[in-house]
Amino acid sequence: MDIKFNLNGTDTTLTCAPNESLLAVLRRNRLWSVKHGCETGECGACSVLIDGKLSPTCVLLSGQVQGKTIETLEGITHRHKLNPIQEAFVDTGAIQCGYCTPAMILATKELLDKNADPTEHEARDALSGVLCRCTGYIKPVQAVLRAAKLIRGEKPPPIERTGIPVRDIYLTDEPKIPDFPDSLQSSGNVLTEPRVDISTITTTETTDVVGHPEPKVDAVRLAKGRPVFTDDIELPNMLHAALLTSPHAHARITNIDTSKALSIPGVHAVLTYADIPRVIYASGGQSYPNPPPWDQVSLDSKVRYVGDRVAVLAAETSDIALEALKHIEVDYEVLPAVFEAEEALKYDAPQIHDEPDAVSIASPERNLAAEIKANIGDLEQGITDSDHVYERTYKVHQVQQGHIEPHVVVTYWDEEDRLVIRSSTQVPFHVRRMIAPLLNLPVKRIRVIKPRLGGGFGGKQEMLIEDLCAHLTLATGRPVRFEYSRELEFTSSRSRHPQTLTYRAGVMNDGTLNALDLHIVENTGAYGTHGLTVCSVSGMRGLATYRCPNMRFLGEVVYTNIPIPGAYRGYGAPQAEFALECLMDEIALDMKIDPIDFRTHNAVQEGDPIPITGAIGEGEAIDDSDIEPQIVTSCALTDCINIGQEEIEWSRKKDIAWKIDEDRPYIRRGLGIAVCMHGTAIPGLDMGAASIKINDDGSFNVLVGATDLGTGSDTVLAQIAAETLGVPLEDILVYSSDTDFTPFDTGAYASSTTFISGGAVHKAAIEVREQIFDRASLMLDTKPNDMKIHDRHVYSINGSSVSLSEIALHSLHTENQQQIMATASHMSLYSPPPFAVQYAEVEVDTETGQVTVIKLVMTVDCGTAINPITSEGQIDGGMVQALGYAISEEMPYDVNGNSLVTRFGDYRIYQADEMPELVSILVPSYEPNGPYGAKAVAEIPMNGVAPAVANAIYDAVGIRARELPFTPERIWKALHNHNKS
Amino acid sequence: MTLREYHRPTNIEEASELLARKNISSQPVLLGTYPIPLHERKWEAAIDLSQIGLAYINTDETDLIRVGSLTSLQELVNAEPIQKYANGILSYAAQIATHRGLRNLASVSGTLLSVKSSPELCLALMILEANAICYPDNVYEFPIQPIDLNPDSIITEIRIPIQSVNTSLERVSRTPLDKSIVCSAVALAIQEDNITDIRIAISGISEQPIAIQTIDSSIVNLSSSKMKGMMYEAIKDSADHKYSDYLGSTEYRIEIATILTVRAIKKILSKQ
Repeated sequence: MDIKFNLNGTDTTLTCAPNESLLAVLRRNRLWSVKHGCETGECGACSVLIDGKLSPTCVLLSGQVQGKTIETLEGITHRHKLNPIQEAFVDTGAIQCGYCTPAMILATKELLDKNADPTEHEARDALSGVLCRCTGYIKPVQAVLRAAKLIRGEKPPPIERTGIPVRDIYLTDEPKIPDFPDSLQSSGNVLTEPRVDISTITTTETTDVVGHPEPKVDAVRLAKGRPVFTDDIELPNMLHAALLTSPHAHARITNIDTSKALSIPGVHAVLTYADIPRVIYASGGQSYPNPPPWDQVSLDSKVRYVGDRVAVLAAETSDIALEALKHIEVDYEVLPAVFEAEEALKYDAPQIHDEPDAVSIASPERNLAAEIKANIGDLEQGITDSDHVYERTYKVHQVQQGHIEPHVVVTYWDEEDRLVIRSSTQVPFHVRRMIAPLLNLPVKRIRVIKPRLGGGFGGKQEMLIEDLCAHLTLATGRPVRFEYSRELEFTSSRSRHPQTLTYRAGVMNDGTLNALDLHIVENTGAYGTHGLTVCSVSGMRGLATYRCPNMRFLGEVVYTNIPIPGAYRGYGAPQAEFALECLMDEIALDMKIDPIDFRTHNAVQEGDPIPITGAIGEGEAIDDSDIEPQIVTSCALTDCINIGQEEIEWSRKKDIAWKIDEDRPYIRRGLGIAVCMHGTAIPGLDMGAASIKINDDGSFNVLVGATDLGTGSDTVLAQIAAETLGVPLEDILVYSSDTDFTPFDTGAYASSTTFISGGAVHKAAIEVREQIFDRASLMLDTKPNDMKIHDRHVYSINGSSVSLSEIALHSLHTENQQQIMATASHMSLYSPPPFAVQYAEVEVDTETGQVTVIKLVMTVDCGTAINPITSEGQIDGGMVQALGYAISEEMPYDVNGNSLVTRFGDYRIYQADEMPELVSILVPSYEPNGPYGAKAVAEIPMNGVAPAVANAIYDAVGIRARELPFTPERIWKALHNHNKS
Repeated sequence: MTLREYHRPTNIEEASELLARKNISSQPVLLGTYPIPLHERKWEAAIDLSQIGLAYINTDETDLIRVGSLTSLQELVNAEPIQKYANGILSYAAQIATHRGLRNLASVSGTLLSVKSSPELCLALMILEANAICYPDNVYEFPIQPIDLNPDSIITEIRIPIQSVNTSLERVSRTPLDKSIVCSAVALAIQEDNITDIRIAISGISEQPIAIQTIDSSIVNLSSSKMKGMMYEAIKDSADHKYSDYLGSTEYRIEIATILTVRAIKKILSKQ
């Protein structure tokens, strides 16, 4: 049928099928700014303005817009300039991954068209229709208010430079990124030894780019809604894939008949386990060799959770593909299932992995995927010697990454018969290596392209669907597009591991920790993937923050029949630090020691070794004589505590009048704290490389394998290059990442990009700078070591100078022609920990159990914030994800293992109009091993909210919440039990 | 079942005839606050009612507010007379029903036919003694279940009698604006400064919102503990004792419904 409407100012007639959604029609007509995030109108990424009103298009039939006026971001975007709303979004740092940005800009337009002077409340209401998983909404709200000022003709205030004053804190002349200096290697892992002295960095110079809140290098294109994401592409003859998933939690496929599906016109291939080779692998996107167990095949004759893969097909349209799924006939022999890890370990539990070809499962009969043990000192003796012993058990649950862009991949043969995989992945190089044996193709015949990512948070550190899509291209010879629906994201994607954590702690009378024992039982669902490494990180993070001479860790990674947990921002740390920081509070309060004093008395400090890092490696226990423990080489924890204390008004804890609300006598208020510590990259394993080359005009191409998943890492890498090469940020052109054109990088995970990839960029830039100096010395007839690079020029000591463009032209065209360029790699044996302190203010409804978080303050020591605005954005957004983890988000199942939550509305991610006050504060320190003093910031914001809220609940009402999330009934029951006792 | 027809009738009679057809599964195009994905809808013909003129708020009459069934929730939020009537409970209920984008799209009737996700609007209409007018000629009280309607029935208008009432709506949810686990709406009717009637509607204690009819206005004179005891018994008697989910057990829901209802009453009384 024909639909007539006005589209971006032009009367338009489009031919549509009656069942076609408006989203599909708009994207089919290349309005790529309209994004798919869900099918229920709840995320709002697909929203456009219909007659001036923000409207999600995924729930609208195309026929519903007959005669209406539709505006998309393309319609309000000028080719060469930004409108005031776009300008405000760019300037305030409101754009992270940028996937929801078009809808947010339209939401702002809806508001400002009617009200050019909105309140913050009105701005939040306007943005409430667009879920953002990255920003925490702070900067988008600032953008709305700033845009309003611009539209009113007022001059908005300059962007607050809230970052650390980096200009005066370090020397930038020479690289200071050693792999492992001798001075630190002598330290053992015994904490009673004197601490290592950390040398002070001499400061003589200032910076021009690093440490400044530069707009993101990709912000303009994202603000304009340009087609930069994986699915923003149209290929001729492209087919659409659909996945048939298991309705049973545990079953064998006894028969599968695809003939009816194949007979449907438009269906080109249906693949089952019988159609593709059986190759064992592990889907977690990790370095070679992938950690065990290897327990997956692309398609199997056994299914192990509701949502597991059964068959995949390709058809001319998505509708045909979905319809064809209904015609695949499958007979199942249903097997008993088990969903709790503790139950799965019992002798009579059903065995989930009984296949003979799985590799390195610790004990398949016990459903034990992996086991990790580590010891420091003598735990039992330490417990015996302690004056006080505490044993507590905590439970954490399964949650979803919730990136708004679903998993999506397009595969096709290129003109040389090489397979191209265009994927929204955090790990393009791992995907290339891991997928090759599954397809029986050599690595050299595979190219993986990573366009912009619409968020990942670990969910895309996985080869999740690339193999199935590629198999369909192999089967049909045609391009195939495969995108998950939101329901599949919930049922058949990845999530955070549920764990049961039991601590035993021995403490001396003076409050000194003497023994710490941690036992984790982790539910890894149907397959191992990241189970082992997540559990090892939990053990490491659960035993790293506080000095303790006797420690023990036991981690048991257990198969069950729930959908598979995997990597999720924090990677085991949020689980462990919830338990640890609740435990610290419990001990302190029981011993009548101020919780902050107790923590500072025991917390590691600059110069301390972190013994557990020498005992637990990446996914395994290691002989502690082999590897030296990490050393704390920078730590601003005390400042974090003090600054945060002031911001949250910690003294209110003792103010009874503040704790009680006279108007609402059922409300009690409380404050809580949690200390956080994380790692920066995986030492000795993560590696990034960068290539930099000069262009004729003195600009530079920076080619990196690093994967910006919305964090702003491309910008940070560009800032490092710009600073080192003496040019403004606009002269750096970053390209990431494509396995054919960029050097290797392990990928975006483990808080590694600034530190590792940034280290590589720094090294490459220094090498390029040396070549530039050599060329300049030829041109200026002076010595290269007497030169400085600054402001697009090289200056010699005698005052002469030459511009970078003159140098480029000289080197490329004039004399001794040479491409000035360099490639450098960086890995590090260090993993310098960032520190943070999380404060929470809560209100607890003592009658209903509802917990309302009023304010969150996080003070973060991430070393030098290369870009304070993007660093703040990481903290803002991380805190909100962590808030959901604490309060609302969960993945419940029925007794048969069916997911009860398959849409955003039921899952409940915080909206813009219901947020607590968020305060993110960067606390400066200088990390000598990081580029320009930087260490990680991306993951640590996930770690502290849940324990800080738990401790605040205790402060408010005296109940100890040891299980997440803090849903109203859980707290209500605890209150009842407390009152009874 | 694939949608293969799309109709835009220009009057209610034509719409009703299209819906009444026996040879094809037809449904009106109605959006609520909990949309079902389009590919999961089981229909062969979509009947778009937008040309019939059912989006309006009419406050011309002294004793009645008329709200067209296709009025959007955001229009309810914005309309000044709605904001001012009965402590603004309808406006508030529409505001908290969902986020801005869906409020722009969701119609009153679409919301009322899928109350499980956002029952507040239905609760508010229940305690305001509103009715739904259906074409051809039926009048329904709230809550309305889709199964109550004939295939050719179309909700055309919500009629809200103008009364002297004070209202309050109390809810518990995971986050401040999440769907409510339990919600209680209370209206106290007032004549010459006397409370003459109490109306209570609760969601979260059964599949559909429930009116608690065994409580009369004398309860406002009771002590807190007696009020709570009486309310608990009344709610327990009305509740579906099999109704529970991961957000709340039956026991919790009944207990909380009691607390919220008493809280709502007290809030109204404190403002009298």
